[in-house]
Amino acid sequence: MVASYLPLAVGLPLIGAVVLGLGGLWVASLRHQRFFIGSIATATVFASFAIFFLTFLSYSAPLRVEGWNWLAIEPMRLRLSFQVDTLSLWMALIVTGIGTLIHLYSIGYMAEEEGAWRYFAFLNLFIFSMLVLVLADSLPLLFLGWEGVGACSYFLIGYWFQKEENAIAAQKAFIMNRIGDLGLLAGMIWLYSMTGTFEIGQLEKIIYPGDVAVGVGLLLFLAATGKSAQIPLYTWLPDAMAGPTPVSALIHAATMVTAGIYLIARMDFLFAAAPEVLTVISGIGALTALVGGLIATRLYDIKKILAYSTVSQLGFMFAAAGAGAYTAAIFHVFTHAFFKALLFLGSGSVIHAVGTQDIRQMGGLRRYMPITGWTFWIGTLAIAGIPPLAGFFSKDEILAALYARGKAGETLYFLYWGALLVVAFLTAFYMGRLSWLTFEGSYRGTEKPHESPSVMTLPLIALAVGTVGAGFVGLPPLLGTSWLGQRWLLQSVKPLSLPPLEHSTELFLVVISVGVGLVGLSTAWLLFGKEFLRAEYKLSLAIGDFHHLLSDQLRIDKLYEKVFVQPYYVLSDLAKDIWGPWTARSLPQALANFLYRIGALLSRLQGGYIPSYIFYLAAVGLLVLLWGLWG
Amino acid sequence: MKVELLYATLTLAAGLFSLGLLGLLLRRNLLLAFLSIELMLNAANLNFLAFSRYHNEPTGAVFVLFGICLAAVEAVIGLGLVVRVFRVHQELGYTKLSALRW
Amino acid sequence: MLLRYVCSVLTLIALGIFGVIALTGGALAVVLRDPIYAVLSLVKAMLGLAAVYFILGAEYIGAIQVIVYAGAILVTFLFVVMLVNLTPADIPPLPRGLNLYGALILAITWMVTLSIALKAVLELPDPEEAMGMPTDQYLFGTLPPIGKALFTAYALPFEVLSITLVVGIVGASLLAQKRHEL
Repeated sequence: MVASYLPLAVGLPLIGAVVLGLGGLWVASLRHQRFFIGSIATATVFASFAIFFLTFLSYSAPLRVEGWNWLAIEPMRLRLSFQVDTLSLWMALIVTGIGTLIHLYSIGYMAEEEGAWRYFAFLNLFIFSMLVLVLADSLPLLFLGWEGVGACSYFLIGYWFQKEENAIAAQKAFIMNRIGDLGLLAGMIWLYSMTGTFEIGQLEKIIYPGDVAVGVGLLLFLAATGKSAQIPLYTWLPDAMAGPTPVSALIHAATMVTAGIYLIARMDFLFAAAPEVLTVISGIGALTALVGGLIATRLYDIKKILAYSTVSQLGFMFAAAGAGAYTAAIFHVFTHAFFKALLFLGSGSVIHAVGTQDIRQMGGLRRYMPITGWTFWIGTLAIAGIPPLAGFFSKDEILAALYARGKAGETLYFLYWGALLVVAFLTAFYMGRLSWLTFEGSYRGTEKPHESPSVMTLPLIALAVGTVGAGFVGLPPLLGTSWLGQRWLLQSVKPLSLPPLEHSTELFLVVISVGVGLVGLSTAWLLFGKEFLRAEYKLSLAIGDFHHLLSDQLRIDKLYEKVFVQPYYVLSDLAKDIWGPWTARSLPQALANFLYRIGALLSRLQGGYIPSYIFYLAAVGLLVLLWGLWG
Repeated sequence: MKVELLYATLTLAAGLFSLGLLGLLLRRNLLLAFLSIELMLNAANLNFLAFSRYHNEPTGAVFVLFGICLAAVEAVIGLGLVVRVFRVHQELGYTKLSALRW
Repeated sequence: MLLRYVCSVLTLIALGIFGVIALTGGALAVVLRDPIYAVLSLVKAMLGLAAVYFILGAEYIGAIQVIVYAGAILVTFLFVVMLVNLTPADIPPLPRGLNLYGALILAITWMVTLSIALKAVLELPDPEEAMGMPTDQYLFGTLPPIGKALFTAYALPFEVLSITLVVGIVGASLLAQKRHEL
């Protein structure tokens, strides 16, 4: 019943994008109807969400939406069709649900912008691409969505393309993503050459030899590091904050960056055959979480702090996926979507109010904008892992999974577990620092702050409610059964089996993780809640060079510049000085001379004496016949 | 017996073709060159028919029909050109027509 | 059986007679200096060929040959010869030593073309074995099978041919216009 509307659910955002894009392009008067444009964009996404939600309510078995033939080059047959199972439906719900709220918020945030039509068209196109990505039943279609979200991200990061640094940031994001995409493409082709099929449902049934699984797994993980901002391809995400803040919330926190996690959960059958790759994934995830968390403690740009926090939280998810606990990873995707979107939208509201992104010029804002302030605090507590907010449940599940894996004999995972505990402390610390410096104390800026309009605060409240409630879909074994992990996702995801932990161990883990969060928060309070910026100076003096290193974001960008960009320039110069002149001047000149000589030679044959032409004709004809006789 | 007939026909066709080629090479006159080309075309038609009979299949005959039609078109156009050339140059001996040289 | 053999020998003889007529016609068309005579010799060759077609069993094509070639095309040739007033004096004499060179060229081309054709024949399957058809009746050149082939398998070339004819007509009238500057 509802299933027949599913193509509409995917298509509506596309229709919205096309109508808004072409309308804005051709009908100049439409561009000023910003409220109208925003409403249409929001309505399409909301309708899409409604259909997915109804599907969710009546869900009983995986649905397939058959499309039409896409490529039919025998023996390869590729259909454009979608697969709605529990995993993809859950992702679609996150994308459209959070997407609706962010569209709504954008109406207020972009109310003054000239190019709102462009913005909303790309935002809708992004939702469409993301839906294609998660619902695709074959790898090429997934790749299509994968590229689509990358392109939309490029367009939206470069939304204010008049400023060069924004355009550069957009290009950086795109190129970094392209490096990852190469992995996905190569992995996809490798799989096809081994199995002869692109369909995920078919691929699932095949037993893979270990080396293929490792190779393809590493390639797919490379793709995931690109899209989900993990080491070594994470540097684009902090720069991506050049785009409008709702874009950062939607794309660079809640949805697109989780595509890597989704890919790994989707291809779980492959990673099950390659435990080595899983160890690598977990390690990279834990390392990224640590690096992101460390850098976030020493920055002053509110959006950059949140960006590194996202990198760090994505590291958590990868650590979980690497432990084989895909359900825990998806659970964290779900809760993180709520509180990170909430935090980003809150920061957008703050930026909107004070006109700067520097937290040194904020302070005491909770008095001026209470809704933003309180909801932001809720987000902070959630990400710090304070029960019963959403972040606590998912983070706890991840830590428990890592601990269980370590206990199952793979001691490396104890190391990851320890690292993530440190990150949990750091998370609570930098988020506490951010919140106290922004919302408490006295105002240090110049512009008079004001609360945002209700079209912006409404999504904040909705997300705050979600942040409080979302965790309860995945209760820890201590309190009951996790509905999300044990009932819903298990229908389409096969996590590696872990030995069940004893209740006492579990209680110990919970106490530790909550304790670490509380310690982090109270450290932040002791420092920043009392002395505010003075504590900041003291701290930076205390750690000295390390402070500079961290506030320069570990100088990874400069490293990449030295290692990759500079040699490329050298190569380009070589090409310019040697290869270029040779191919552009000497070689064509030589060729032309050669052809000219041949032409002069041949022109003697064309003497204008027709009988000789006839003779050539007859002679060549006879020679051809003779050749046929001989052959 | 069939093959003998085929051989005889093919020999005849080859002879006609050679005569046409000879004429094309020797007669330095546009009109007579045309005449020789017609002769060669007919030789080709004869080959078609010979094999058509051998296989007892109408395809060859169909192609002969096409060939004759095309020969008619070609003759009409070619003769039109001949007339045209004659009007311009008062001359049909093509040894002297060399305007198309490089 | 004997009758059949006699029949085929008679066919061969008839083919020989008309073949010689066609060949002499062709040779005269190539050698004669007077263009009128040359064209008339070609008519003779065409008529001989038409007779050969009849002997082969292609009555329809034979008739077409007489009507189109001997009737239409060569008459056009005659018209043109008269139109441009081509006299033997306009025709350059055949080069010297024609006997030797001409015979040489003739021999070479004849040999080459004939050997090509024979090579093709040697690769042919025996039709009676390959197709298992009765070979007494030769229907390939009669109207029904040709018509059928023309309107089924070769319908498109047939239509294209009609367009070509129209183009030919238009082109010829354009070329023959008196005061048309090209």
